[in-house]
Amino acid sequence: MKEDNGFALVAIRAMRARRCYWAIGVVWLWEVLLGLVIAWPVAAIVRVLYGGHPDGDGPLWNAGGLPLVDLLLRQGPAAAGVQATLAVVLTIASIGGLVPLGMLLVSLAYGTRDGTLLLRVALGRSLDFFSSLAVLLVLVSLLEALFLFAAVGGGIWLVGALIRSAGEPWAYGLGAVFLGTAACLVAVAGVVHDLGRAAAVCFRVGAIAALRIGLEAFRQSRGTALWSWAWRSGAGLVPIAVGAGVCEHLGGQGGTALLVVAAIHQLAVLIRVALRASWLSRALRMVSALGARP
Amino acid sequence: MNALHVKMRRMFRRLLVPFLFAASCLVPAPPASTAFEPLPADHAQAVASYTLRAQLDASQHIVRGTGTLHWTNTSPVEIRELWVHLYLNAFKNQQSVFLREPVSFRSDVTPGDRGHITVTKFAVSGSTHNLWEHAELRRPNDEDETDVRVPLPQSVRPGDSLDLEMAWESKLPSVVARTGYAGSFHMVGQWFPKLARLEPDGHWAHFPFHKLAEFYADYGNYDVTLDVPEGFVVGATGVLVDSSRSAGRQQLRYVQGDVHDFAWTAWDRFLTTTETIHGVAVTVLHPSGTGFLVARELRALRFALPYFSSLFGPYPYATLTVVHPPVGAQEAGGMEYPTLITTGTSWYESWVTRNVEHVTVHELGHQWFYGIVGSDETRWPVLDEGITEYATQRALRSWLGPSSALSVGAFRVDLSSVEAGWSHRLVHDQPVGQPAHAFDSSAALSALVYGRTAVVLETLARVYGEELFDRVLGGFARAQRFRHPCLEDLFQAVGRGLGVRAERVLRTALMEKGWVDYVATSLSTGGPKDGWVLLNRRGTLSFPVDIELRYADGSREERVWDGELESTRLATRPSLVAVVIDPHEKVLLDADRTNNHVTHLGWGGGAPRTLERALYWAALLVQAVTP
Repeated sequence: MKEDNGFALVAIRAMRARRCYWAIGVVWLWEVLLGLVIAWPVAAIVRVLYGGHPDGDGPLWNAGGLPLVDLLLRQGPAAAGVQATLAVVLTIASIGGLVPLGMLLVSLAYGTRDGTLLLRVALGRSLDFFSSLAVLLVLVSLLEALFLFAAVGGGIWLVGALIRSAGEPWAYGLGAVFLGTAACLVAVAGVVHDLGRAAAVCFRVGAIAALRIGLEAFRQSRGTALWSWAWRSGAGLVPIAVGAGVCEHLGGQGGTALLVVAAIHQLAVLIRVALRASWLSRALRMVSALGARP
Repeated sequence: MNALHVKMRRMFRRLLVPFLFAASCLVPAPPASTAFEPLPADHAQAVASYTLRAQLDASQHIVRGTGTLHWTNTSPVEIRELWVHLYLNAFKNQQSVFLREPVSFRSDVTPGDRGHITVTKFAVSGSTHNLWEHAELRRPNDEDETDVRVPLPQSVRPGDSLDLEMAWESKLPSVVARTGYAGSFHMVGQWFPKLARLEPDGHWAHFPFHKLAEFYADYGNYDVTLDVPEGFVVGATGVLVDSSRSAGRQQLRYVQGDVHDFAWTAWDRFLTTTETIHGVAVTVLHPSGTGFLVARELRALRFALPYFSSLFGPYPYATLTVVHPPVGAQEAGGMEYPTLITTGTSWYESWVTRNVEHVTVHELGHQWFYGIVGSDETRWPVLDEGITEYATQRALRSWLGPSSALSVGAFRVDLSSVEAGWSHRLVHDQPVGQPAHAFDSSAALSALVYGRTAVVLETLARVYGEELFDRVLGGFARAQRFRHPCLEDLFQAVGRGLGVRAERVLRTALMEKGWVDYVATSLSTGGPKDGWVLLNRRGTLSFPVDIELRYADGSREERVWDGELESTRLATRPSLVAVVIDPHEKVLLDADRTNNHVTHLGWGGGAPRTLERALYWAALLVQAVTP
């Protein structure tokens, strides 16, 4: 697929996350900016109440949690405002996030003759795929919601049916197995979803056709697809755990410690974006390897 | 079995029973402690003693009982009537006080299957005259049958005793409010005609069974033989002294002295775990699959039993039975009876909270504040639930540190913090020290009686010193051992131990919706001259409170403001830049901690950590929902 301006799919082996570090940075920035919209009102409330304390918000982090519990219980109306902000931002994140996602996919899949791809170009091209990605999102989300609804409903029924005869551990254990199975199905749907997204960007097709290609790619190499997704998802938990451990040790009320903690936390967010990009590049390679055209 | 054998066995029992009563009250060796005065009473005065025989019909959920009650008039006046509580009649119909009171209690208070108790015989021993025929089951225009007046044919003079023979039938409700059945599980509490307590002035402390209230009775000796189907595992108040089997049933005899109630449970699917803790034979009865919860309950008991014994006087009984109700019978959980407590936490909930430890330690605490210190639970719930909750939070913090309620990563929340925040919200609504049935809702009762009392006592402990407060409350528990104190006794104990001011604070906090809010209003750095800080105390309570002063050169100074006046202008050294009231978080009662500090412009610390953490977690949240 080539265009007059030189904008074209790169070779399959070149579809790598490491080629698109700036796109990864843009996605990280997007997530941090949205995070800031959520975090700022929270910090503002705390600043009003504890900003004048000589230790700032330090008492809120004291062991025992007396000021923290006191604050949480008396800030009901303010919490309602934060919740509303949270709902709006998360809605924007889930729909508007298709733009940075499309940009990331375009950056991974395409290049120009001179090997560069401007952010502006990638963003512009990503808008071409927005409708396909949006329809895919709706379709697969509905399917995933159906899985989850059935799983939760079935799990509750199962637990209720077994709990008196089999006891709590068995009943809840079986309920958890049931729910876990459904979660696996949701994960599979998510993998197929990403393969479909890759197909939509690679082959510039509509949502249904992209989903079909994604399913075909999954059918041909389901083990590879699942493993590629799973190990990156698992690895994404490592920076969170490491960050939590380090930060609990450092505390970070201010000064250098706070800067170190912030750096570790944001590095964790960035690593997770990079792992996501790595998986999407793998999905692009799998789909491209089909060599199919709709 | 021949006649001689039977005669010898009877004789053996006659000799054995008194011995067993004494043995059941064996005091385990207390931990070394010289902080308290010697115990004033090792045994209760046996005022109302019961010898009962109960047969459980497990399929109909009926207990058929017979027995005798030996009662002594310990008052200085002649008694012409008895008052008898028939608590199970609370579940007889919708007209009972319990069911018609428009307050919620726990999850569901209307049993699917009704329960009731029918007395068929209540006669003075040796007489054929059934006193129950003349009993006044109800008051005029009131259908409640939980509080019965029984006129006596002859008055009982001070010091005289009365032996009564009883027969009754108790239909258990489907499990509700601490008692009843669920399938073949039976929790049998408040199941027999229970004599009300005669107060020292000769009036009976009797009352209908209120939804939010509990019980009150005189101490006595209990000798109870339970007849249940073979295969049922039984747990009961007291020591099992005899058992036999016949015709597909088993007879189990329990005896216990120095108690004011008797409860038991029977289920054909109980598993049993036993352990001796601090010299007490602990038996945990639990459903299968709850082994890890039982392990946690036992860990809690291993800490709390010696801890409470050390603080409040030795646990005086030889046994403790812990009942973990099965699924579907959770309403039987979280309840105290003499030497028998019920716990219970759902399997999944136990993974994220410390509820199982909390419930276990709380119900154990009731062995002292309810059991050994036999206050009127209906009139002064503060004395049992309030003090027990304080004891619970104290024990959990001593055991688990500042994460006694929750520990998730860096978040470590103490139970006292939760109770402080929780109880602040309702403090202006109703007084804490009122009768249980005077509360508008169970939420108000919980927040004020449990939470607020615990917070008041914890504040006193922190302000006046835990060691001193331990001696005061421990002294109260020991002085009132096997007695029936009233709230005034607690006030006086605090007054004697901590002083008049502390006593006034306690009275105001419990009886007059007392509250306090310390405010750091403004400061002056003073420049080259001396600085000052204006401190205010709002509310009706006052405590001495720590004041931390910080200066521009980084030095700190700590003072104590006596808090007697409503405001004070505290002179300080020059270059004062910040003031923090109560930096060590002693005054848990402080209604608003966000006004406890004041700083000179530019010396505030801001909220950098909150912003950093909130940003991080928000970014992760965005990642989770981003396509």
